[in-house]
Amino acid sequence: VSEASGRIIDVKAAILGDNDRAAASLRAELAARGLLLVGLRGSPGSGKTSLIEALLAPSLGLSARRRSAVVEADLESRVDADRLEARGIRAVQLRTGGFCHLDAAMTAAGLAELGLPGPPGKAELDLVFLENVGNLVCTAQVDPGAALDLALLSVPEGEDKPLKYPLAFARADAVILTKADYLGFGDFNLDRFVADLGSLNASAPLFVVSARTGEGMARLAAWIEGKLEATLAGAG
Amino acid sequence: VHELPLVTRIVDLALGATPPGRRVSRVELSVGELCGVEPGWIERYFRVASRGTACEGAELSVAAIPAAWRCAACGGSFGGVPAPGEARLSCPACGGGSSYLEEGSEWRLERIELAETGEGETA
Repeated sequence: VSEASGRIIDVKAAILGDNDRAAASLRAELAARGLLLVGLRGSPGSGKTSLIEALLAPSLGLSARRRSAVVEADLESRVDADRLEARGIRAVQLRTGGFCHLDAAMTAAGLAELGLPGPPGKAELDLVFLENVGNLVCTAQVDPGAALDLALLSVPEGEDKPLKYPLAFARADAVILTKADYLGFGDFNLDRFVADLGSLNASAPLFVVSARTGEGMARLAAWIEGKLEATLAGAG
Repeated sequence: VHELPLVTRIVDLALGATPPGRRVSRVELSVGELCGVEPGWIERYFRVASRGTACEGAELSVAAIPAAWRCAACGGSFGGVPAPGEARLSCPACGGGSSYLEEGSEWRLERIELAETGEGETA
């Protein structure tokens, strides 16, 4: 062994490895407690809070059948949590203090505010929505520990976003096109969007929804309900 | 606000691998092609994050990990970085337009190189 090679140290470490491990262990713990944590990612104004509001509206039945709550993340304000609570939705607000994304430790802190995971056995809640900071870049690279990773894009943002931010869409478990009531008013090309998305993420289902008109919401709620049933069936 | 915590973590990992009393002369990273990393920014943050540590003054190299996609139709593997205005990704073997991401989003610290004993010492 030469002097030179003695100076090289192979580290081979995933730089986000600590967070990846924390996220995986949080995911496993929540699954064992029968709790489904649904993460939502998207740009500021993509309609994350409105989508959660609509999913937990009494008309869809999800909130009547399931004990649910929301963890909101924002740089500074608690506007989103206040807005949800005004609708009777239990919500806590994580202030990330300038951090542009959630990590597993922040998610765990938000869940702790809801008293989760709590004592051993079935968790007190069935379903928690985790709204990430409005950001398409960093949120795709840092795993917050949710069981389902939903990427949102709103129609007014334009159909080219999957090609501009491929990672944001390539890694999602499902993609939600929001503000579908705007389709037809601008130049959003739905066919091109669907084809672009398929080239990046062939396995993610696409939901085209409008929280305002209710279009597509029942199908999305039923899909989440199915994931919840699978979580409950798999819980130890 | 995204790169600085990552670079801080890189410096911590590098320092964790450095034997006591030694200094680091080179840090080698690999970053997935889809991470949208600007090596210039990483270097600037590295100067800040390494200040006053055994990594201060180390040369930083950033290698790209090519994106790898798996064709949903034939299972073939191919590369490419999607971009608006460019041809949509498609499988060069079968022409299929549905694929999955397999690689290209990683951040890895590959290796560090230690300075010769005495080299770069300030005291």
